[in-house]
Amino acid sequence: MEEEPRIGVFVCNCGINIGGVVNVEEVAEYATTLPNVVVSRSSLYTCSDRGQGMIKDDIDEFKLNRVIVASCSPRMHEPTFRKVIEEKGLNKYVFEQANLREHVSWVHSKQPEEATKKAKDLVRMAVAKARLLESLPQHLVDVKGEALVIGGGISGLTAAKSIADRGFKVHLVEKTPNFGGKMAQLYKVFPTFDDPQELLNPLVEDIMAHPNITPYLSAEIADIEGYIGNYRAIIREQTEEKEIEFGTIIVATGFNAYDPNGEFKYGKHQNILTAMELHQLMRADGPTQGNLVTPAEGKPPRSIALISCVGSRQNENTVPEGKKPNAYCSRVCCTGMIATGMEIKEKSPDADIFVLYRDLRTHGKGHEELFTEFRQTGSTMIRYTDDQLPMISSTQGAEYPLSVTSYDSLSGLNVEIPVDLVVLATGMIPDDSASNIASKLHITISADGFFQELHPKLAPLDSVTDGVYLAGTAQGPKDVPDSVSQSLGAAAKACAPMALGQVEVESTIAVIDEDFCTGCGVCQGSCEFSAIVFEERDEGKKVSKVIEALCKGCGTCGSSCPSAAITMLHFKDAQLDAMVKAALTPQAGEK
Amino acid sequence: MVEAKEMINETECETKFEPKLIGFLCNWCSYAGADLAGTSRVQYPPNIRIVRVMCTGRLDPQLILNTFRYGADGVLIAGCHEGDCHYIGGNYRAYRKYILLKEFVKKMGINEKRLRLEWVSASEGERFAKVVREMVDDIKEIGPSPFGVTTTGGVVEDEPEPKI
Ligand SMILES: Cc1cc2nc3c(=O)[nH]c(=O)nc-3n(C[C@H](O)[C@H](O)[C@H](O)COP(=O)(O)OP(=O)(O)OC[C@H]3O[C@@H](n4cnc5c(N)ncnc54)[C@H](O)[C@@H]3O)c2cc1C
Ligand code: SF4
Ligand code: SF4
Ligand code: SF4
Ligand code: FES
Repeated sequence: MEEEPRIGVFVCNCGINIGGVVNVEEVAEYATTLPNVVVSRSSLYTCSDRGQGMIKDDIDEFKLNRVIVASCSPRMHEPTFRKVIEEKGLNKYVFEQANLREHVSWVHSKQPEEATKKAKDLVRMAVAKARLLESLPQHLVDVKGEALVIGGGISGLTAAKSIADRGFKVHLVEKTPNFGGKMAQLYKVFPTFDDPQELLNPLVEDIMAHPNITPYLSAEIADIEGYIGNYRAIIREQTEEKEIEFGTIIVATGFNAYDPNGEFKYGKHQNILTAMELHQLMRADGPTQGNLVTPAEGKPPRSIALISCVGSRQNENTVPEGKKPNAYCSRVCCTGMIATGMEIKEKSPDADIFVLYRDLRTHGKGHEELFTEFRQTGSTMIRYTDDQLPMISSTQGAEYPLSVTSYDSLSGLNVEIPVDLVVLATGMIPDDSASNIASKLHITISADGFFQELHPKLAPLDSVTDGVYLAGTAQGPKDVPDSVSQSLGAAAKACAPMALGQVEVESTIAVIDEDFCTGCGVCQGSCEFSAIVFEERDEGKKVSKVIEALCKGCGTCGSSCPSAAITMLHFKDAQLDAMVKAALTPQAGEK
Repeated sequence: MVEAKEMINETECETKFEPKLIGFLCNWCSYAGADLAGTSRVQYPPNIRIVRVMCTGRLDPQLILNTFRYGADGVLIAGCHEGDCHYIGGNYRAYRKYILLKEFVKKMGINEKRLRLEWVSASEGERFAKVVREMVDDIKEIGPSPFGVTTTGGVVEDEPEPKI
């Protein structure tokens, strides 16, 4: 026999985040009028130790067999509260969360009455579902102790080595013929002015010699499928294809430099360069063996303008027609520009440097100090505004080949600067392969085009897919120290399930009732994961069966079966129906 | 005098029709988008009650029809953009069901504006709010659902008595 539901409802104030708008006491009071609710309380922070303790105590005292927390989004704290009730011996699927913060108090902050009413509705819906919740069996899957790292820039290299050093096998796939990514193309890296090769070479040597790492160069992921613990991919290395199996994935596909074509006369004069091009020009293995000379004349530059925020922090006014504005800050170009200024001064001490900036963001450790040092060089700082971008014109026949005019909001004057060289501090955009990788791995991309983390504060290294982690600039603009920290973190995250050898996956899968199944096969055609197969029964009857490990619980088969033979665990027809009914007919839900 | 007062109350009642909307949102994109509307403090009318499903592919036409039967003035189905479905093609299958559902709903005598499907990504908090605002405005214009158990009003003109 089914035991009678005994529901506890815990309504959270979330400090003043919910309580400042919704009358939390009233909602908690109201919950006691709902069927099967045996206790209902409010608390200041339900996720705190105290709040969790309250839930645990009530589970004991009131013999609760269902728990509802009405608080923030389940996308944030469902795992937290599930763990709390599991500690008290309840199955994690008898937990339900009502979202009173993201879906109520924060979006109806000026309508406290309506917000309170809506909060009660959401609690009533949660109770309606909770009454029908069931304990589900735990599903464990084995995790193969091998990882795939996509991208061999500093981020991918760091993550690969870190995982391999812990004793797991790593497949490191880089699409170009060389490891090192963009860092390998730089002249020097701030804030320490190291030669990037000196940092990268020992790392790459370690990687190539590491017994646990299989490197793939000029390679791509031709195909990939599976789920946490059990992935399979085909790697295409030049003409060869190889099939590999692994348990976790690190995405370290990095960034591309913004292409300023059509902006600031880029492409119209040889002496207008991007920051990346200037780095290449200054390198000992560059076209002029590291001599800093202007591309057009081959002479040392006397006067140089550096322009910030090219391709970053754009808005409708500053973005060239037909392009989508990149609203974000690329986070490395300011300090990069300052560092470049100092490197130029080192090579050509007499050159005059003009820095045209919008805001100077030297946020990293040691960056502001670098800026203070740069100011000792006596270079000129000009602050331009986003409604009057600096203009560049070529001045044939004049003493200097280029001229930059700009409004300077510091002095309030329009200035005109004759220069030999213009350097555009171009920002970062995601690698071209990002959207392809995203759809292959079922991970998401944020509005800026970079991969989206599961939660910006609490889960910055996780993607939305279990077993897939994000490292470095693939997730958003970063300098090398930040890329390395994030990669070490992502590596540690990937190692956790591999070290355990098994992980629990969601039990919310599809189940087919053989008695109702007519063997029509419609469900098999609707499943994107080939998780349903035919099985023969006596008398040659064919029925469909779900392969548990392959089912992702999307529910698509369930809504397609003409015989209503498929049940979606935890999202059953009856459960959803009860929620809708409760939402629309208040009296139906009350005691 | 008393009469006049009642008249005012009545007109107040009429303008105070607050549509009840049910939103079925997929966990990965649209529910996250609605969360983002919250995190960014975007304001929208409090008329919608959201039911989380893992994917729009889960949505059974029967559930949507029941939702109207229980008196929803509008139903919003929101999922991931084309190519972004966490389960590859659940949204595409949802779209095919939606096309059929629209026809069916019309035959039931329900104004088709009451059923809307939108693709809302996890980064489109503002757009989610906009969709809700638009839907609330649209439905305020066409009035309560003919199935509405939550409203006292009779049947709206362009919507004949439903037959099911
Ligand atoms: C002009 C400029 C100057 C800079 N100066 C500094 C500095 O002085 N100091 C500092 O700390 N930082 C600096 N940076 C930032 C620094 O370059 C980055 O932090 C760093 O390169 C990020 O490394 P990554 O591995 O994340 O990305 P990347 O270097 O972009 O590496 C990604 C790698 O993945 C590969 N890849 C991409 N997609 C795939 C795929 N689908 N399959 C296989 N492989 C793939 C790419 O080919 C690449 O090798 C600067 C950046 C710029 C633009
Ligand atoms: S780091 Fe500086 S130059 Fe780069 S986008 Fe940010 S503010 Fe602009
Ligand atoms: S769609 Fe339903 S009846 Fe048809 S094979 Fe699948 S489970 Fe059986
Ligand atoms: S729930 Fe989704 S993944 Fe599972 S069997 Fe059904 S269609 Fe396939
Ligand atoms: S997961 Fe969003 S529509 Fe399928």
